[in-house]
Formats: sequence, structure tokens, C-alpha cells
Amino acid sequence: MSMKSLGEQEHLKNQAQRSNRSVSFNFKSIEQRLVSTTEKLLALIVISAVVLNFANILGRYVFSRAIVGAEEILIYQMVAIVFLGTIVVTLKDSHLRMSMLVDVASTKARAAMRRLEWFILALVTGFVSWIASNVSLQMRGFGQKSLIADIPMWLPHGVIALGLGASAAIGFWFFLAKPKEIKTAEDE
Amino acid sequence: MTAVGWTLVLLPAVMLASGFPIYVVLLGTASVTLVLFTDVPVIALHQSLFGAVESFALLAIPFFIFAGELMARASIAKRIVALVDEGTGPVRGKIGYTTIATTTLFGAISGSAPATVATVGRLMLPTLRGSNYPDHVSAGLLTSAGTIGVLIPPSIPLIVYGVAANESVPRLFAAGILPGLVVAVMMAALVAVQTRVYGISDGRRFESKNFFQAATKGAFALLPAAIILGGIYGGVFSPTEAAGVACIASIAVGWLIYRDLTSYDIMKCAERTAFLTAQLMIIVAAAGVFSWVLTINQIPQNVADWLVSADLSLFVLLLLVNLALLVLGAFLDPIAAILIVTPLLAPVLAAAGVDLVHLGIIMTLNLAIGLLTPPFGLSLFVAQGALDMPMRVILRGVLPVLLVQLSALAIVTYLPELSTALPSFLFANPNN
Repeated sequence: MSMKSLGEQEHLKNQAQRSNRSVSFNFKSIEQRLVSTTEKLLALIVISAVVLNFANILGRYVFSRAIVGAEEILIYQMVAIVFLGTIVVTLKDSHLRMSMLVDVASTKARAAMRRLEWFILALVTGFVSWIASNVSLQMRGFGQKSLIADIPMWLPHGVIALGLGASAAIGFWFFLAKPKEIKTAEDE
Repeated sequence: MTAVGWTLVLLPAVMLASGFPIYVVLLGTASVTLVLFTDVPVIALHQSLFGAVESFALLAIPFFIFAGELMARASIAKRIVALVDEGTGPVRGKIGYTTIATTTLFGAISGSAPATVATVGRLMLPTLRGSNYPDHVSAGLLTSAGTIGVLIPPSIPLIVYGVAANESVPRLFAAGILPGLVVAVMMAALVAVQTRVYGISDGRRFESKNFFQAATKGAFALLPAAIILGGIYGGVFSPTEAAGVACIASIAVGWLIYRDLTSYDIMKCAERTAFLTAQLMIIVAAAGVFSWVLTINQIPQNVADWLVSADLSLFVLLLLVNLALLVLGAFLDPIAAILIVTPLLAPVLAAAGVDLVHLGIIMTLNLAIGLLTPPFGLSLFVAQGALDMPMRVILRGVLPVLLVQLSALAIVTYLPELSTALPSFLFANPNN
């Protein structure tokens, strides 16, 4: 192992920090754009669900005619909110958890526990997403539609595959990148 | 215990303690059990996951959250608080009572006790300090925020319990009112005692002019709440529909009447709603899979058999249930706990003659108290951050509150009529 001068060591350290920051900057930028776009899409789904619910009630009481399949559409909108919203919650690292033990652990132990957590998250959501995508593809093949609103059933089932698949990808991304961020933040 | 039993108990315990997201714990345990110990095709896991959230009743959750966000963002909530504040007039402890009323209101709207602690805590702490309430007393009142709110309709834990136990949500909403009032009255009594002990005199003269002013300003603010309760109990709407109409009413009042809600605010509230819904409902979905895996492995049946063989009296059975729920509530989010425990407890207690509506109220109150039970109660940690106080101050304030709320729990548990009288009166037909 070659010995390096103090200046060289300082230079290498600065270079490493700059490179870390640049990776972290790109990571943050993509993360923020993905969060912002998904949040806007989800907000529109929430507002359209409220409007549809109100229109259905008005139709029933004022015009004595409910909107056919409104309840089905509302339920599938909620499925979309839950599973697409999970992408945002995962990106913001805000899933509900019991974090007391992790909070009191040392930086090194915390980084290791978090790395394991993201690996398991990627594994579990990836597995369930794989099953969901198979089901969704099967439904698409059969041309299965919902009972009343005639919605192609591969869509709501596909949303689960998409939401959990994206969560798996984010989990894997965090597994590779986030523990370094935790360490860098603590070091700084 | 069999290998499946150990997997279903130990694996989630270790993962939870390691700080894994609750939905990953539930989904991971269910997946491992299904793949390693059963012959059930894995496709059933997906069907169970989808089925857990494919419910019109659960749609009330995002709608209630949205209504709450809109009411908090517009001045609707503030106007109701001002009305309560003016109405309490010269009463000693009025700031304490207003705090209880405010936390009840926010808790009922948001359905989340920790969220209420964070929101109302920051809002009310300066007022409480300004009225010479000692920090530990303020901390006790604010940390316990939301315990009453989860019983007073609309309550998200009660909706989730209704879906898990296949019970009518309107009946559960009606059942929560009297127990909620019992907790509120007992908390008010605690405030009365504490204001005397610490010599707090925060009352001021009742000004009818100010009261009528607040009432005029706040009249429309009561519209969403009137729609929710009137619509459900008048038989006009289901809880989900009522929640949706309350969103429209909140937008109309905030945007058109009070003019303090913009289209940007509505969009932001909708974004926040989607976030909170996903955070909560992904646990509902995963817990649905977990409880299905428990069922196919006959765990509820085994627990029921064990309890039946123990031949416990109803008094002891309810005591054990309360203790178990308190411990569970100190560790686990109430929604996840309700979804996991209901399939285990409901058949046993129904067989022992306990009304499932009554069980829902016991469970909800119990798990809400668990949130402020040391050392792990989630509200304690939220309060520490929101109020910026040392944990020992918070614990000192929470202890008398815990004693009061545990007494209320005992009353609610052993006086079932408190929970069953109102639904029986309002819904003579149990299918309502």
C-alpha cells in the first residue's frame, strides 16, 4: 500500500465529497421530479373521485338516475391512489414504522439496518409486483372486464404491479445509494 | 407451537423491532409463510391484496382526510375553535377545555392521533403557556390529543374495524359518541382539578357580543360536520357518500363563502390526501393479506380454542383483551393492529356474548390510549418533536391523563350499554 501525502489525501477526500454530492444532486433531482409528477396525478384522481361521488348522489336524488358503475370506478380510483401513492411514500421514505431502535443505533449500525430494510422492501414488493403483473397480463389476455362499468380489469390490477414494481426499484436504488447519504450526512 | 406459528409471530416481531415499514413486515411475513408452508397458489396473495382495498366503505377514508385537510387549510377549523373559545367564557380552565375541544375536533377530522398531536400541539402550546399552564400539564393535554377524536365520528379506525369485522359503519359511528363524551367529560374533570392545583385562572367575562360575532362567523363552518352527521343518521347518505359531500361543502364554504381557499390550496390538500391515504391504506392492504394467511393457517381458530378451553369468565376475558390491546397499541399503529387482531378476537368475543359494536369501541379506545403509553407510544415521540420538550416533562404530564383514560376505558368496557344504546335507538333495524 502506497503512502499518500496529507495534501494528496485532502485532495482525494474533496474529490470524493464532490462526486458524492454530484450523485446525490442528480438523485435528488430525479426523485423530486418523480414525486411532484406523481403527486399531481394523484391529486387529480382524488378531486375527480370527489366530483364523481357528488355527481352520482345528485343524479340519484335530483334526476332519479345514478351514474352506472360509479361505485366501481370510485373503488378503482382508490386502488390507484393507494398503490401509486405508495411510490411517493417510498420515495419520501415516509412509510409508517416503529423506528425507536433504529433511531438510537450508531450511525454504522443504522446504515446497515436501513440497507437491509431497503433490500427486503425491494425483495418483497418485487415479488408481489411480479405476481400482480402476471395476474394483470392474464386478465388482459382473457379480456376480463368489471361487472357494471365494463372497465378492463387488467388496469386496476396493473396499478398494483406498477406501484409495487416502482417501489421495488426505489428500494433497490436506496439500497445502493442511501446508506452512503446517511454516513455522509452524519460525517458532515 | 408449529414452524408456521413461529414464523407468523417471530418474523414480524423481529422485522418490526428492526424498524421495517409495517406493510413490508406484514406482506413479507405473509409471502414467506405462503411460499414455505402452504400449497396455496401465490396468485391468491395478489387476490387477497386487491380484495383488502376493493371496498366502497374504505373509500370514506380518503374523503374524510380530504375534508379534514380542506377544513384545516381554510379558516373553517379556526372559526369552530373561536366559537368554542367564546362559548366557554368565564369558566376557569377555559383554555384547557378549548384544547380538549380542538383536539377532539381535529382528531375526529383527521382520524389520526399522532397527526393531531403534531398539528394542534404547535397551534395551542403558545396559548396554554400564555395562560400560565405549566409545561407538563400542556404536554399531557396535547399528547393525549386525538384519543377522544378517534371515537367521535367520523373515525377512520372505526371505519377500518367495520370493514374488518363486517359491522355497520353508521352503527359504529353512533356507538362511539357516548364513550367519546365520557372520555371528554373525564378529561374536562382532570383540567378542572389541575387548574385548581396549579392556581391557573384563565377565565374571562362572557361577552354575548363576541359570542354572537363568533357564532355568525362560524355558522357556515359547521356545515360540513352537519352534512356528515345529518346525512348519515338521516339515512340520506352512506358514510362514504357523506364524506364526499363534506369535501364539496368544505370547498364551497372555504372558496365561495369565506374566500380563503384557492384552487392551489385545493390541489395541495388533494396531494396531501393522496399521500396520507397511501401511507395508511397500504397497511390496510398488507394487513388484509396477513390476516388471510392467519386464517388459512387456522390461527384464529387455535386462539379461540385455547381461550374456550381456559374457561375464563367474561370479566377476566375482557380484562385480558384490554391488557393485550394496550401492549399492542403501545407498539403498533392502530389501523394495522385493528386489522390483525379483529379476525382473532371477534369470533371468540362474539361467542362469549360481547356485541361486536362494543368490541369495536373497546378496541379503538384501547389502541388510542396505547399511543400515549410509555415507553413506546407513538404520540409521545411525536409530541417530543412537535412541542420541543424533554421526554420527562411529557411523561410527567401524560401520567395523570393515562390514569383518567384507563378509568374511562374500564367504564366503557364494563358498561356495554354506553356503546350499544345509541345504535340500538337510532337503528332499530340492525341491517341499517
